[in-house]
Amino acid sequence: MSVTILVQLLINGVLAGAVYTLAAFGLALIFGVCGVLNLAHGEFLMLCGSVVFVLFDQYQVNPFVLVILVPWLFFVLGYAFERVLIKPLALRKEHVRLASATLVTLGAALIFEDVAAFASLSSIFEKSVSYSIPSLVLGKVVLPSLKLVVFGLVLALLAALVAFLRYTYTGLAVQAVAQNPRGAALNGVNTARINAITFGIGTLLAAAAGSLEVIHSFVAPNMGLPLTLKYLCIIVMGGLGSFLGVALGGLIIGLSESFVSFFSPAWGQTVAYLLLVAVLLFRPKGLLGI
Amino acid sequence: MKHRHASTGRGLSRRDVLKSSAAAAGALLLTRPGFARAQGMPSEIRIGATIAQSGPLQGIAAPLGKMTQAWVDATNAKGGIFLKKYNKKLPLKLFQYDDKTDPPTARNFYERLATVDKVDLFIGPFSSGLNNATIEVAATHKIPYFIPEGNDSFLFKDSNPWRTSGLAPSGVEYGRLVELYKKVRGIERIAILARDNLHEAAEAKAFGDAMKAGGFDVVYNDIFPKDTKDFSSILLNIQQKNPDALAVECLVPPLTVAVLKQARDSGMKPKEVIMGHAPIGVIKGLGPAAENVVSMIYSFEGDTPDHKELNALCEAAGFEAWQYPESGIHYRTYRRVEDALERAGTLDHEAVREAMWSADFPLFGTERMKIDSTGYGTDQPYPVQVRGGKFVSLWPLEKGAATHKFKNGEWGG
Repeated sequence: MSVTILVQLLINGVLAGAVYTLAAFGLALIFGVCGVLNLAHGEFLMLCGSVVFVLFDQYQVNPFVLVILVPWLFFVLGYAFERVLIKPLALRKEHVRLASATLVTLGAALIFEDVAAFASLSSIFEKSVSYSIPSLVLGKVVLPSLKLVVFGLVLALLAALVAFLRYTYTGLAVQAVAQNPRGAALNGVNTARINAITFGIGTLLAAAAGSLEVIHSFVAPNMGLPLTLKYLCIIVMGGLGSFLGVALGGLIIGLSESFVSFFSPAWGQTVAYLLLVAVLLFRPKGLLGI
Repeated sequence: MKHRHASTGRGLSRRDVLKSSAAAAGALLLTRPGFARAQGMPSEIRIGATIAQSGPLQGIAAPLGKMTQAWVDATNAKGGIFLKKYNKKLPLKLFQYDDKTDPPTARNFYERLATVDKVDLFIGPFSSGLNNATIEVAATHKIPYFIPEGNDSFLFKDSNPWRTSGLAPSGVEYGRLVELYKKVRGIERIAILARDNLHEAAEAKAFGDAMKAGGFDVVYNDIFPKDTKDFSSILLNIQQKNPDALAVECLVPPLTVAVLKQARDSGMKPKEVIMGHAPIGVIKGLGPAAENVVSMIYSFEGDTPDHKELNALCEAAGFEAWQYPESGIHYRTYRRVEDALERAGTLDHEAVREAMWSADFPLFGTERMKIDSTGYGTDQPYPVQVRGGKFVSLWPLEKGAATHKFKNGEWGG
């Protein structure tokens, strides 16, 4: 393998891993703070990608403007989702709450998928934004500009999230609830409100990933659950409770898919699960798990 | 207890009420299709089908369900199909469900069609994979089964006498395209990428074999998993092989779009791009990048009554024939059903099955539909090319060779 190919595969892996990380961050945040395994996470990604597509197709709005605007609608949707469907389960025993919340999100995922499939019947268009930017060529290495912009947006979003968590009162409250919900409540934190906000932020991150997916790839009604499983794989591999672990997990999955797909495409998507098994065998807490 | 009769003043006895009820029930029973059918006097022809109105194949298959309904409506508007045994035309009644592109769901629906809806014949689902899950139901219940879009050899590996396909074997599906490239000249090296699925994997292999037999160099022929979203590393490998042509064999429209968008974004500039299956959604999704991409479609431009009927059914279903290339396969399936029923002249399953196998009728002025001893038909696709956002025919070959344009790495936009 030449150095050029090696560099190109590294770039491909990092760019793919960045979008994985963005969405997986949302899932990890919801699980870490709200204690809910949100199986509808991938569906929010799909729904936002679909909305971006429809707005692009109908009104020819620049898709990157939509990437900045549309996910905020999903913050509201995620907030409302938590208030209406998850909060009523809060007073149940922990194991019952966890199982109930998981089943509620699974049910929601199936409903979202069916509704999206039904809505697609009235449209003959596949949900993929027809938009391109000329690629950059550095020597023999091609840098797909579209993906570079996507990568930049992912980094900006993650930086904004870190700043929010570190430097705002609400962000600190989110961290407090994640560490000790009862202690946070005793210190005057409105944990119910923080849970809803966290769910909104997690959903916003999934939505942002969806709006980026529809630009450089596609979205389809049935894509949600397989993606949620992959994000789950990333956060378990990285280590539950560790945001750095999520980033590492996303990067490893992106890189491994990139390299394996080059040599044997048929195994490209399986490698994530093989790596998860390997990591859990040798380090059950995940790579950076606490 | 007696009830007063309003007009005569005579009381209604319990016996009167029972007699009236029995007569009403008898009349109701006699007019019910099931009873009439049991007496050998069916009042309708029951057709069972599923179509992928959701799931991965939705974008390529769902409108064909509307087309089937349009065919049923159009046939019924003409009074139905004449069956000699009953000396009358019988209307069609369609039982069609959404199989969600899911083999177990499809199988369950075909069981339901056989046992609850009690259909007289089946029209199979879209794709070899789904048909593979359902053809056994036909053998179990001995109901004639018309495969529309399905021609993988797996479907014909055993001697199930209740199924036939209108399509020619997958091994010859790309035959006309290979012939076109022999005439056009200009490409030597081809890379083929297919979704990992029964139909696409078989098609890719068959296409590769046909190209090799035609003297072309197949530099890459591999499959990708159905959940792949990032194709950049696969495309990088293909780029290293330096192909003149890139072919994508994939039934799932958004995946075809993703592969070609990412080929464009990764700087690939193939001289020729081929899409095995490309409904309108793929062309729209690619936008300007679709210009001059070559594909295959199961009909061609013409003015015969068959062309007019195909176009009318598509229009009634809300699209144009070229927008869903497999609409031509569905049309031939309707014609096979009509032909088998008319020649059988009865709804007796065995008679319809025999007529299904002995089909031999002209189509579109130049074709002839026949079923071979394995169960394959004669339907093959025709090469087309995207021009200005829609397909133009590259058929007949002489015309196609003269009007074909290479893409020459121009993605537009």
